[in-house]
Amino acid sequence: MKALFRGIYTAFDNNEALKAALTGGLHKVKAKQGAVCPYAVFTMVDRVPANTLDETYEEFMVQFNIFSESDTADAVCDLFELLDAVYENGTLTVDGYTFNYMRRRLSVMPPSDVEGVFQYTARYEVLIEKN
Amino acid sequence: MTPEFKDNSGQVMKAFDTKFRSALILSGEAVRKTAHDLARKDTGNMANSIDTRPDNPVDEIIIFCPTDYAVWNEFGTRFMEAQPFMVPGLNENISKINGFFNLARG
Repeated sequence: MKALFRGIYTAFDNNEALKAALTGGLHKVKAKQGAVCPYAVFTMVDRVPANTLDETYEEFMVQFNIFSESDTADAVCDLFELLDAVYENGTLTVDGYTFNYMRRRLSVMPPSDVEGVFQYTARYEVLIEKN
Repeated sequence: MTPEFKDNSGQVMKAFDTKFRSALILSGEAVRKTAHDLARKDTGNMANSIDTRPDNPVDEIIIFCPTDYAVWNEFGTRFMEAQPFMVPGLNENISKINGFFNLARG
């Protein structure tokens, strides 16, 4: 879903605070090899069952993973706050679609698989309508 | 003449309770099966470990995956893409679960 991904990245790119904090950048689906913390990755993880018979609506679940290398979880929590300020009830521009809403449905801090790296995961439901 | 009242509420509650428990069991099984289908499979250990608890639920049923790497599959890590299976397992069955409980209500 290229248009949605582009809209998500543009929202990041337009927010100076988040962009400045995520020095390692925001990556689509996979971080680049050798990406340096802190950085975030977003991907579509689920197509939410539609609650409408109108097939012009599309619902997606988009997941962000934020990674931060630190002694404590404070830094990754701060990054999440910045990210959430952009996307929770935020507005996206999605070419060819009318944007309806973007809402956080889940946020967790899974145990990290790497010592000293903290992970924050958030999922947002996005509803868009084909023009 | 004094009217006599017979309290059948116990039987009613028992009948409802049985149907409600059946709905819980069916819901848990539906989510477990979908999660199993969606789970990443190598040895199949993670997918096969998805289970429900308790066997005879009263007011809730828990669908869980006890393998320690399940959380990394669900949410991803720095070195592995997420392949969610538990939350989508629930999401994909919402209308089915509603159906089970509507049937239980009669």
